[in-house]
Amino acid sequence: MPISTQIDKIDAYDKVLGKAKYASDFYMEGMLVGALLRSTRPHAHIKRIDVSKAYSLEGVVRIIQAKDIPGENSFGIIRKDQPLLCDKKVRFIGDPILIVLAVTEKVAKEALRLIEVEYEDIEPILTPSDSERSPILIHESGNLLTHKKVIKGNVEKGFSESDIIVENTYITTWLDHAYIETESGFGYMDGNGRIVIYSSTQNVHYKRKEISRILALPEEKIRVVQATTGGGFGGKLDMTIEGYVALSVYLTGKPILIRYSREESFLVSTKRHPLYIHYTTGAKKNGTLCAVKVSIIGDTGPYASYGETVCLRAAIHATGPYEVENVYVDSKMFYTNNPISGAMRGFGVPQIAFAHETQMDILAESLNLDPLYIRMKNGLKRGSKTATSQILEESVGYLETLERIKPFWLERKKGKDRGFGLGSMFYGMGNTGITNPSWAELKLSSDGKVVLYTGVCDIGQGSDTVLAQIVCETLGIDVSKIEIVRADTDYTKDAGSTSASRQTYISGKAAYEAALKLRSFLEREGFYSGKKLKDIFEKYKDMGMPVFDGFFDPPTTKLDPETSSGKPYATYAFATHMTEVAVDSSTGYVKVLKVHAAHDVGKAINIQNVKGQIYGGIAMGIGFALMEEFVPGKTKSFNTYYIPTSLDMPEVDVFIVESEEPTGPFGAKGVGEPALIPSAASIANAIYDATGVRIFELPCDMEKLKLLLERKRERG
Amino acid sequence: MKMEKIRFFLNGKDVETEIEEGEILLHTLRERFRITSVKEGCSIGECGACTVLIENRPFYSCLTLSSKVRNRNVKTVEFLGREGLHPIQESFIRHGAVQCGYCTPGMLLSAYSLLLRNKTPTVEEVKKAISGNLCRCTGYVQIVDAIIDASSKITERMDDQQIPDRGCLSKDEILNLLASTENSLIIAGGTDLLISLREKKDAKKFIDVTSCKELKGIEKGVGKIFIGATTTHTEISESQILLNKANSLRMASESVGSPQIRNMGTIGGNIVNGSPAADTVPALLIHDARCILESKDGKRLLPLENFIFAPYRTRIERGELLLGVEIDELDGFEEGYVKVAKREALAISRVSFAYAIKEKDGFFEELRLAIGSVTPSPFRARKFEERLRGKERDKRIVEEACSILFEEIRRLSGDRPSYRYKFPVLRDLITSRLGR
Repeated sequence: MPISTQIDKIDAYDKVLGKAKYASDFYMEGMLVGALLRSTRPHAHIKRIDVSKAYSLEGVVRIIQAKDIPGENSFGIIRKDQPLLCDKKVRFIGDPILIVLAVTEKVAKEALRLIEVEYEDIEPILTPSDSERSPILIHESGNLLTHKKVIKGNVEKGFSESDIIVENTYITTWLDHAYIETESGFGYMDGNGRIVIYSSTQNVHYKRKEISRILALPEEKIRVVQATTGGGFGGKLDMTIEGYVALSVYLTGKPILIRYSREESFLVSTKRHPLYIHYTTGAKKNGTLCAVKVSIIGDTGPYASYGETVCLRAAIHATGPYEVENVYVDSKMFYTNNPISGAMRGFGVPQIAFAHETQMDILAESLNLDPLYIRMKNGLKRGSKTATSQILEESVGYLETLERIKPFWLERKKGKDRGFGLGSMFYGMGNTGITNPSWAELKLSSDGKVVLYTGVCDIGQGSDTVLAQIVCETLGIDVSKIEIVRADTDYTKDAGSTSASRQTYISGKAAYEAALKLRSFLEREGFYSGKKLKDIFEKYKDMGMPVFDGFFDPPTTKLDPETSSGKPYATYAFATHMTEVAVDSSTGYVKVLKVHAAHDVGKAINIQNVKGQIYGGIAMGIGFALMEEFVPGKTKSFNTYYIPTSLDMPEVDVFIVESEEPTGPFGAKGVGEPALIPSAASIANAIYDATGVRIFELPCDMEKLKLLLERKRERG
Repeated sequence: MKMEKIRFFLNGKDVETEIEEGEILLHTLRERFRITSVKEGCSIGECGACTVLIENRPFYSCLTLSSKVRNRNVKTVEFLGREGLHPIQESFIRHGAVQCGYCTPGMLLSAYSLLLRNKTPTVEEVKKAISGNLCRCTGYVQIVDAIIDASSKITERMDDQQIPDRGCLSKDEILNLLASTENSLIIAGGTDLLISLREKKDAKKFIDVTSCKELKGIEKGVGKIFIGATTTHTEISESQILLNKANSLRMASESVGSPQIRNMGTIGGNIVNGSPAADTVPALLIHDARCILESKDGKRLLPLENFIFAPYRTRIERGELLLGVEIDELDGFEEGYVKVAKREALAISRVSFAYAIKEKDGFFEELRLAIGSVTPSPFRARKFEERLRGKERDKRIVEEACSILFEEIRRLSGDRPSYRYKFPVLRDLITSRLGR
């Protein structure tokens, strides 16, 4: 059967042969290459821009400024507060000011050097606390982007009933997605004067909407197609190059290529939000959690991007996968003149998981309880009430993830400078407390195949394959019988973004619904009693081949504006990692030796893909825990931003828990972000186990850990 | 822009193209041959997406001058797929080793190169072979599985065909060019030089010394060893002579960057670049290395200790060429090179040191120690050596002597905030390596 058995990834063939076309691989005769001039100041008024010298450089074709934008000079997924090109004010180092189009990339970049910009500096705001207090406003609307609360029960009462209260502050920093393909896009004007964009993206329909606003063109005049995309992790959700490519095509009529250099990608791509988390937990002697009070303060940078989502999602997940009677979470995001923070795998939850999992271990130690036991005791199960007072009715596999880890946990043997740590998480599938639908369509083709039209962007995670498996399983056909038309606004309907671990669950369900309709049609047409698809197609081709569509929008509710009570997500994924580390006490270097990773995915449609996500998530978790740190002004490229190499990866054993979700396709939920979330937390706990040093700030790189070890040594 | 013609073998085909002065192989392949499987990911030799094979060894094409491949065999992933799927490509598909796919062509080439040389690699060998290719999606696990699985299915062998004559420059020709060319610049591996020149637009006239046979190779003399300037880190890592007589140097070269960097980077480049973190320099220092320099005016020998005198600054004169280094063999010594870095590959050292110990009856008969990445240039810790000579090889005694070492360091570079980290690390590592 197509699901749960080994199916080769559909996209892999072209990729191993080197034939897959990424946006920067496109080429057209007469193509111009664009480069962006970017602000060198964190906060300033633009007084004057002089492009005359650049125009005189041979090969420069056009310089585009804000005044050339026919429509709105703004974009943003939630709030349209980001200018496409700055003309009055710049708000961070890297803010785009103009586009140079030239015959080659080299000429375009040389031209950038010849442009003079006169600034009048404004005092930059570089921390959330300065942002809160400063009279200087980054946007007229004020420096507070958003403020969310999650309230359940009475937290003060909960603390008064507690035998023990643990209170700590956790700090995380900026991280970069560090996809190996930088942001790239290619565009041209077709014979009908329509603008066609091929881009490296996680969502085509959203990009079309933004382009339509910027160019003041109806959406029908714009086509956005996903080029093969070299990784996303949230960084290609916002508009990156699309607006610049589209504007350039619109103004020149020429084919345009824009590709960020690695330095540019590091400078301007959205980052993981640095969060300051103040976390207080109250519990009974027996380990029962009584109260959790959390304050989250985030630095969202100069523009909103996904700051509001991260603010709310971190708050909703602040308790971790535990049932707590009394909860009070206060979460704020402030604008600053630092890099833009946005969506990155987990939307704030990896940060908060680091906090709640460390709290759990501290509690366990203080109460002389086993860390696994205390998680088991408080873990969410069927019937539990979450912090948003949602009753979990189905598919709650958290305790089972613990059960799967338990034998290894009980048998762990600690060597010198070795340690073991647990990390657990829960994660809501899909967007938070809002509608987030997906559509899919199926047709038959003349060569006797089923064609799936889906707006889902496969960014490497394998949605093409998974959707194909779901359709084929439903129809009872072989995977060789399906073709996919993917992520093209001309041919596919909106499937929403490839984000929030939602595509298998939501778009998979939409594809399933479409397949059910096609199935009953095929039943009527005698396919299951031997008639060929080709013949069925022949029969209908003159009267018009019917289209079978599927739709799914997970059942969620709006959240209460004061308490966030409600059903933010229809279902949740759960996971537990147990990580073993070795610490070199001479250097502070931590080597991750082994990870046992148990994940409740509802149903593994493609086991190999699920594993691939988990392995990749662990790699990213190692980076988050031990080495990745974006330092504004210092981090320029891969030589100053270390991500794990093959030699940094441990051995991993994956345990798949399948607590089926009735609303998902064949019971499936998602795994993309859950794969990463518990990783760093489990590493931090393992470091404590090995050294007796608690980690409150990530990354815990070797230098930080060595200094902590030294301090401990000095104290004796 | 001056153009020049080059001819080379691309995926087995004899090809010819015009290139600009200083053109990079990555751009030649992508723009002149439209081979877009060679990806640009960082342009500074860190990510490996641009990996190609030259004589079946992986190179970063973003840091390879196109002129370097004249008369040589260059392979891209199209070579693997020339007759349908190659077993290793098939294995990548089968094992789910491909996610976004951007690193895949480079990864396949690094893997293929390994399997040509080693049909039964261990997991560690596979991980090491692909450690110069970053992947952000897969966590490498399924890639490693795929390579191990494919290893038994590959029948090809490393081409033992003679590497064609590349139209070599002789040493004298280089010296003439150096003397007569304005704005000329010697280039060897290019792994540092091309990065530093990336943002500079004034065209340099590169003199590629890697084609000169007189500058290459490791030769054993009486009590000493000559290492030609363009000997690569890979060649040093694989040298039997050095394994026996200068193992710290071999270990240092083995710790450099990644397989690609080790195939490209040379010992001469490592020295002349003058980085405080140069891996080979501490090892060379404990072997009392002498730099052999030549210009049209003649030859001179300069102790390496005096050659690098400040970060990225050496005593090489205009018109001078580093022919190589001469080092003393260390017989009966226990040697080591220790590198402290934030990850296992592709890392610049934060602290490094090379040591050699001759022990007699539990005492230090002789001891040598050189430290890298701590002072403006790597240095030989002579006061520390002196203090321990003749002393008992004991942890406490070594640890006590570290205060002398720290004094030496402070004398060279004052106090630095980073010493809060580096001194305790040096203390602990030196004590555990040198002490008993």
